Amino acid sequence: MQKTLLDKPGAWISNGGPESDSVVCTRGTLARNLADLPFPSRCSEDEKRAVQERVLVAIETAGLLASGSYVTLTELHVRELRMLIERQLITRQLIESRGPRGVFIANDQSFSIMVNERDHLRITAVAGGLQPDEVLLALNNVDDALALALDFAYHEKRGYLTSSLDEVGTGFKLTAVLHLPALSNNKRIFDVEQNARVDHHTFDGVFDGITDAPGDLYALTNRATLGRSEGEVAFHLRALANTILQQEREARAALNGDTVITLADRVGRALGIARGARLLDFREGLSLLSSLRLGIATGQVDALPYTGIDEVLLTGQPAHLECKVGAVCDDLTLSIARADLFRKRFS
Amino acid sequence: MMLCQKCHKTLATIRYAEVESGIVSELQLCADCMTKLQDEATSGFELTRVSPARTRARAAAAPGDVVSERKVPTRVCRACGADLTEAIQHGRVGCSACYEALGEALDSLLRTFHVGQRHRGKVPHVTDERRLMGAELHSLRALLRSTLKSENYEEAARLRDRIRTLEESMNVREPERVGSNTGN
Repeated sequence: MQKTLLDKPGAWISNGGPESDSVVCTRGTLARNLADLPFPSRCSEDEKRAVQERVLVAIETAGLLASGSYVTLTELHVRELRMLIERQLITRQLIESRGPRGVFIANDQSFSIMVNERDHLRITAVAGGLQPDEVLLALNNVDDALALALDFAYHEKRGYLTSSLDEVGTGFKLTAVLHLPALSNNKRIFDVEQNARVDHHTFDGVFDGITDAPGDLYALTNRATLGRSEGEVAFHLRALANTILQQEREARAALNGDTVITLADRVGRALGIARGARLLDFREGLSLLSSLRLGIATGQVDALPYTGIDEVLLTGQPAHLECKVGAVCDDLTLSIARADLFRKRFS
Repeated sequence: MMLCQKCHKTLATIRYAEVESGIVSELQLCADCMTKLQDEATSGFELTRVSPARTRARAAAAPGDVVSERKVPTRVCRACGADLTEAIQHGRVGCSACYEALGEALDSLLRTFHVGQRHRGKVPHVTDERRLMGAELHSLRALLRSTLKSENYEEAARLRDRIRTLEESMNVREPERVGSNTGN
């Protein structure tokens, strides 16, 4: 499995998507629980085993086995598990949980089904660019197929019952990963955060907090799951993301003479370092990718698609590099491997 | 953006929740009003998180001193043992039954997370189908009983086959009635 995952990046990276100049990907999750068993935090080992067996039968009934494979967590090395987190196919919570648990991963890595994470099932789908409706459709297809064989915990007034109170209702969380270097540069990013909060969304840095977010990458996520339908969640997220993208484009267009030179210098230097560096730490790698993505958008970097940037963003993460090297790596070895990856891709 | 709901002068930057008689209510406050509120005597309501003022009071108390702590009765879910305090502190519950067992307090807590109180999204189609199949099963069993009473065994056999097919597709079986013949 590891070889297959390593050999080819997820379908969303190769395919790209709308607004991919400023949106890396859209990711959605549906939380579901079986009606007759307690949620995983209160489940016994036997109950978790029963959940896993029932979900496996449901996956088979749904005809999904031909399009992916199920692995239990004990089958995988911790390095591989970390790589799956970096690919957004599993969560840290799944690793930290106890007892029988696992994940079904589609061959094209467009969706996964975690079993016995904080809920019995968590279906995740990812698509390139800004595609909230497409992600919702993919999730609904898997959900409907599984529901043929599983009775989900559902209440007429409260909707799908989940272990987290902030997911009850639709159980649907939708996130768009945005690249906002211009807004980040002029500190208007805090206004964006404030507006998102008012609109019932959360807005935060992907790899760290909102201040000086590495790689200028931000995650925009819906907060409410009760009182808004799945379609409304997708609609509001798209609308808000489009507003933010418009602000980002205005901020880029408003760059005055001095800043244009600064920007050109930033992109030129990034290209030079990417092509020549022998050591690159993760944070610097993210910063270079941010500058290069901006360079493509402003026409300074030719013949490089956004999907190329996304691929390096994904495969330049620590666990991916460790899996490639095939051993536990110290920081120096990781920096060397990352620099090799950048030189190979951008030379 | 919203003005502080205490002083109505400064921009609110803090979301503050308090529990009174098991009901969670929310206030939008500015930093100054939040500090004042935390330094006030806390009789009459329970903070959802321990306030710095109370933490300071506990830290300042010498060993052996009794720092008054108000005990708040909390609801517990009989099905899984999870309680309301856990739901408030971690935003988590233990099972489907918790949503009923933890009562109104949970509803008021949900108001702080969401934009509404009623689910407006997807309804599981399969649950509807199963409900219909369940209803059909129920009426078929009733029909079988009356057919047997009228000694129409041919029709009864046909009905029993239909019931079995339905039970298999729903993956259910009517529970065996052990010792049900006593008294009959």
